[in-house]
Amino acid sequence: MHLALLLVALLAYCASAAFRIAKWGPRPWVPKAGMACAVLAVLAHLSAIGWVWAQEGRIPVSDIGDSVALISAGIGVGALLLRPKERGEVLAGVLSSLAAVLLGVGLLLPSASAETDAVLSNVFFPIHALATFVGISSFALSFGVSAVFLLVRWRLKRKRLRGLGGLPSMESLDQLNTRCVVLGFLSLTLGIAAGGGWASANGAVGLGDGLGPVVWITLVLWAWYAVAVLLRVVGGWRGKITAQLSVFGFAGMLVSLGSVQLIIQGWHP
Amino acid sequence: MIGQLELVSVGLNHHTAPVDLRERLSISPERLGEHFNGLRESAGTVESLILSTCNRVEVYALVPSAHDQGIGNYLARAHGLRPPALEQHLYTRQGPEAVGHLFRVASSLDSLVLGEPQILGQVKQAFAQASAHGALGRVMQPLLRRTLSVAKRVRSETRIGRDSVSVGSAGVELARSLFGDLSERRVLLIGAGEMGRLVCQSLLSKGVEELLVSTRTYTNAVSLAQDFGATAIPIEQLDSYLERVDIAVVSTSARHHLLTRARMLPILKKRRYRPLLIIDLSVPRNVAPDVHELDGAFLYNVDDLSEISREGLEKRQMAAKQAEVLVAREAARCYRSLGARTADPVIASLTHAAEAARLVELERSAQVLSQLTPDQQQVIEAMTRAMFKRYLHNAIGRARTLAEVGDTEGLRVLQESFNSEVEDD
Repeated sequence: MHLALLLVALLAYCASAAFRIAKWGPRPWVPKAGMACAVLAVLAHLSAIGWVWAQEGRIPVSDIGDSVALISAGIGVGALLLRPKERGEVLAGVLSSLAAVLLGVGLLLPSASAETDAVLSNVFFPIHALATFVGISSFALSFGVSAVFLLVRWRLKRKRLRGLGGLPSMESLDQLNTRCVVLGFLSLTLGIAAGGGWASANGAVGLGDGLGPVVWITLVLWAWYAVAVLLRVVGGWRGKITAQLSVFGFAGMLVSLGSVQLIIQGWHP
Repeated sequence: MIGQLELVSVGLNHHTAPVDLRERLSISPERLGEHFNGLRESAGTVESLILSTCNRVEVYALVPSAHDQGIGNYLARAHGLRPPALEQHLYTRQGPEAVGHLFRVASSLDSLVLGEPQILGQVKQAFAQASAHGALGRVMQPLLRRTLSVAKRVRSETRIGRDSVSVGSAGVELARSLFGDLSERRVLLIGAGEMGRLVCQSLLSKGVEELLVSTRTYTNAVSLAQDFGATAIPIEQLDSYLERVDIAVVSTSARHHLLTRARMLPILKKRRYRPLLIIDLSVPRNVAPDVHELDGAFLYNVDDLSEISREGLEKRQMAAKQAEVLVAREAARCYRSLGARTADPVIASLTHAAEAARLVELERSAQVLSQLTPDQQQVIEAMTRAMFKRYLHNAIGRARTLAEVGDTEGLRVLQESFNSEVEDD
């Protein structure tokens, strides 16, 4: 059932992306079909997560496949919520594509044991897991938004003005990016704090004393996005630099966490 | 045919007549009443509509004979022209083609600027004026609703009005690609060139928050600012204002680069690379082309804006092809339904005769019926109504079909045979 729901979600994400990105001409039903598929995808995806919760009493984050699929759900929800004031179809299509790719990757990756560890029943763990995944999903959304921003900017700079009217404005993308980065940063901060609380409640060691590579990567990621938030919110920097920070931040996180996870098989050593 | 009449459109437009002839034939609202009367008396119009804009003068009318030259002759004589001199510039359409032409005009498929929105308002106004002068009747009155409905469908179901086709709207399109909503944007106009004014006018029409104007001499800037309801600023403070605005429109007669890379670099740094749209409409150009390479600067010249307009026009032309199909289909449908309306008097007469016959029969049986309870009487009443309604159903359908194909003789025969049938009964 879990797998069937995830497959429905994957197909619906793909259909939503196709309806929103492909040129269909002026057919009024196309945007509605795109939105309907996006809603169906998110419902199926959340149902799959709910199914695991109901059957096994855990959030499905025990292996990298589950985790990537969970980030994909965050992107799917974000794609429904993040709407630029105008011309939002292409952005929604890009985010649906990103959700589909991550969900597909999540389904292809090998699954680890789903046994519930007794130490995970600590109160800090759900907060740590949820806040961290909300944070990472927000960074993933920021990645998608920034990628569209850089595309629009590139076309404006290259004076490739044909078809530009179908894309969201740079300003609205910049604002969406800021919201995603700030939300992601705050959530990740909460996730790290809850993770620290969980570690100390379980008698784990302190900072610098045997922290695994995942924790170090997360801290570097936190520092990276702290710079992005400072530049944008405090320094008032706009445009290309903040978009590039988002794109490289998330891409770097995917590569580094993905590599580490494939080697050590599990979130924390 | 619509009954024994035909709907025609006779007129001239920017495709068929030069501007001086269009000027001469244009009809002011004050003289409309006189022309409606003139058309009625000289051309025998039963109903009429006059559409007079800067690009066209057209009469839509319900006339006894479509082949009569009456309307063209009237237009010529009423404007002091010999009919043969006007004839070569006039076009005449009749029946569904006349309806289709009205739909094309209202949908802006026949406009000088394809897809421009003003024409629909002018068509509405023409209908309102004709109605006020009592020139519209049972056939042409419903045409307004159908015309508005088709024009709105063309606008919503195709891209006919969406893409920019002028330099001004191309500037707005660029600004929207950068900023989206323009209501919180500040614009700086540098120079008093005509193109710059046009772009600023378009930006103002989209509700930009503030327009600042700067020219070489401050007094000229003040005068120009007054025209726009804008604020004048001295040219010496240009750099500090460039740090604050979102859009700069440059349109001066200077022969050199006013804004160079070296000048713009510190300005953009102070803006923290917040995007600045620079539209340079001057020839020779007043902004160094390499300014576009700077982060945060987006520089476009008159050729770039023309490219956007060209693309917009191509898209509108493609949309027009889709719209033509929709208009042709709706015109045929509308014309059939207008024809069907001529059956209304016949249907009314049939219904009236049937109702009279029913009442006579009820009256004959009044003594018997009076012995029934009120409930039973109501049942009899409802039953007789239903019987006659059913009896009439086929006759009404036949009347509408005959009217749609313009068979007035058939309608007459139907009415007579029905009446005689009722009388015989």
